[in-house]
Amino acid sequence: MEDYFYRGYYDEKFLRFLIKSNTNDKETFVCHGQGKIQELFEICQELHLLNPNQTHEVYELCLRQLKIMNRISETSGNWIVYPLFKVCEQFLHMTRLLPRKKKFEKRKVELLEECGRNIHRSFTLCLNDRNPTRMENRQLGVYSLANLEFEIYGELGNRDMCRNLIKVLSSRELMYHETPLKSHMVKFKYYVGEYYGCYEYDFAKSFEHLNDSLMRCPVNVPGPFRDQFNLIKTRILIKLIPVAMVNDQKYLNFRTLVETLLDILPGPGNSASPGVELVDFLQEKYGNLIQSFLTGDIALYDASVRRHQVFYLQQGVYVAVQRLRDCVVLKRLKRWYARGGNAGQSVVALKGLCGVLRVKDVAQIECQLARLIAQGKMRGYISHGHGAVVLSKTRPFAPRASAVSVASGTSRG
Amino acid sequence: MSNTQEQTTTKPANEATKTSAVRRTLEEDDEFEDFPVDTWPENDTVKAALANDKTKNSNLWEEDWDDVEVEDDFTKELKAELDRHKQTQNN
Repeated sequence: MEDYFYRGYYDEKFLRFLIKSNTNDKETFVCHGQGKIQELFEICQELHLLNPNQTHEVYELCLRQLKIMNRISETSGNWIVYPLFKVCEQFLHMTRLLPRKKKFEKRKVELLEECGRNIHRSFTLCLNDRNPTRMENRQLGVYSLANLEFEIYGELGNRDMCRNLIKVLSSRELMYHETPLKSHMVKFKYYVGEYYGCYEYDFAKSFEHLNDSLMRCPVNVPGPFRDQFNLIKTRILIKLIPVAMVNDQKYLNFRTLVETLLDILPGPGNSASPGVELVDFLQEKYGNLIQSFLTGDIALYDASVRRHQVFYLQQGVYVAVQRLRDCVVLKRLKRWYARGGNAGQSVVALKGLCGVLRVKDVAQIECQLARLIAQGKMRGYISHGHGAVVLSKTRPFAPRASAVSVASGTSRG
Repeated sequence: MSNTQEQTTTKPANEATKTSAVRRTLEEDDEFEDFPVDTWPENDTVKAALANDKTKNSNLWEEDWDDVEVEDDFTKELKAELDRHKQTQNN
């Protein structure tokens, strides 16, 4: 076994030796080494001998395995990154299995926190690698290990830890900006996008990362994996659709979704395909929202939010959806203005807008307009004393932010 | 004698069938699914597919929110209101 460490490589056989399998397909190794490698060897052997039902014993061994792998990794090149990730992944899996036993129920949070701390050690020893040789630098593993940490902090509901993780990654000059494992980058971008969109409400950054995550997903996936990948793409879109609308007033082209994104082959059997079911799902959750966003139909927007608010809350997109209301109101006002609703006047009585915005209370109109003016989406001011809004005579409604930057030849980075 | 009308709430037939495993996964979980494979060819990504598709509908995101116009009740109501306004001005 020590040959892997001396020569610095791994193969499937080595990975199978590290990971406890429930099948009889076990690897046999011989170890003539000593010290840390010998210790790892013994732990792995013991791990394979344990009954899977001995969850606590398996957990303890996995913890020891991770600790010794961390020590070994300190002096190894970046070949160790993937085996280390697999060991971390196994430890997280075993930690999750533990609380199923009654006596560990109360300790679920503590166990996950401990798991997070141990995996963070692996993350840190990859992040802090100063090896100037790119081919040997362990920073290659930071994205994969960060994903495991995101999973843990998500389960713990600890957004501060997510923030710290993103902060430390963005503050460092990393030798690698991604990992060759595409699935790990899709996941990493998803978690970062989710953090910005669902916790920080920075929708520009959220869109950038979630869209990047989606763009990295595969198409033309062969049959057996297609449904799984379609589910992953839908998972990303659940967050991305409201974020795109609220950030830059972009909305999903369902035709591209069907024809390109979800690999739904044309044919009469489509109605039973899980891919079609996913399109239906997205349309059910967001179809009316998009429709109201396009038409300025405030009643439709409110009804849609009422109907799906639990789902929006569970998915962490409720704030994005709530902020979308301003866009719906703005669209309605734009349409009203474009069709000469103000009868050529720049001073418009707030009472006169009650019918347009389907609101009875003038104070509510005032509040909505103040929000739009403050956001720079509407140009003018409110004259509270006169009960009127004074619109800019030249261009009372600002075009989409990105449309402005394209027209002026600048990019939004 | 009572005129009580029994209100029967019948679920639409399609509601029941909607709760498939896939839907339940998406509705109830917020966890990212495991990937069946870790890597795939560079030219088989969504990004590459959209870049290679030069048709009109190759955009995933529509950006015509500012311009898109629809004929709905609001348009009709607005038109009627404006016509009324013009008539009162002419009179």
